[in-house]
Amino acid sequence: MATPKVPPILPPLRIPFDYVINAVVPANSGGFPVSLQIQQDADFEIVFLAGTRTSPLADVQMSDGATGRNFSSGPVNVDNFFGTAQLPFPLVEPYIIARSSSVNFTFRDTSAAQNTIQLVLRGYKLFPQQNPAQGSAGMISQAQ
Amino acid sequence: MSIWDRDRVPGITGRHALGLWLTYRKLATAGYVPGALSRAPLKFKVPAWYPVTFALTARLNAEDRITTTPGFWLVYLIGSSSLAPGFRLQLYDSEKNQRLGDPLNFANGLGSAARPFILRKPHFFTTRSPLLIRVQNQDVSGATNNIQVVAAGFGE
Repeated sequence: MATPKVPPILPPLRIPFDYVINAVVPANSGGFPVSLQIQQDADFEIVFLAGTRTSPLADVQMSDGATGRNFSSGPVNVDNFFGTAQLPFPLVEPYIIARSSSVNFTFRDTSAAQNTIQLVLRGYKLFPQQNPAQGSAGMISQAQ
Repeated sequence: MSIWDRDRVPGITGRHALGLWLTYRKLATAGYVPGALSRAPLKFKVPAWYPVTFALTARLNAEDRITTTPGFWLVYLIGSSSLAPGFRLQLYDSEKNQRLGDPLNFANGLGSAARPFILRKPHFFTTRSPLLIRVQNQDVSGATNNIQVVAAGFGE
């Protein structure tokens, strides 16, 4: 009987998790900042972007809180940035954010009315297989 | 076959299939997304969105180019138009001096975030300022058409 093959690095334990960004963007706001803090217990793997908005006349720009690096060269229309739960925007290659880091969002409105936007980063918390309660201590984002 | 098997593709470290499930394609998803070999270079890359925005009145045309970081994989084509007639679009790879197709209606070339057009083979740019985007407004009412074209993918 063949013995099961054990990979050198166990794949992480993935726990489904959603990070939610709520923004009530004032009418014609030129830049409404919202910061998201990634929790300390585990790295986070973004798989889908989903969201809702009052009006499509709004833009969003996402940046890394630690480095200030933008993920886009300019504001992206919300309908070009996130989908819905039924039709989420898929990241063909999931992106991992280190635990305890922050992600900043800046919203703009051009609808001339208050725009209530909820953006959801849908994905998985990455825990070590051998000790799910311990937290990854940054090992996942460093090792992969 | 287990998605956790690290040797599904010889020589390529296994990756789970998350993120490649298109809810509107279901079991046919694999026919609409890059395969494992095409996705391999995207590993550890950072997602990036490059939007270009135009505000055009009746039948006007314009062009702009995106400035990427060196080493950018174009994976998604997304766009929107504020007026129903939409716009025509042509893409030009100024790095390789190649037209990426004839002018077409944007609905035939671009998706939305909910249903993005995903390249089966991601297109690689080695230098900066590679992609020229030409648009022509198809609306004739005289109102301003707010157009956005987004080239999204993964970069360094």
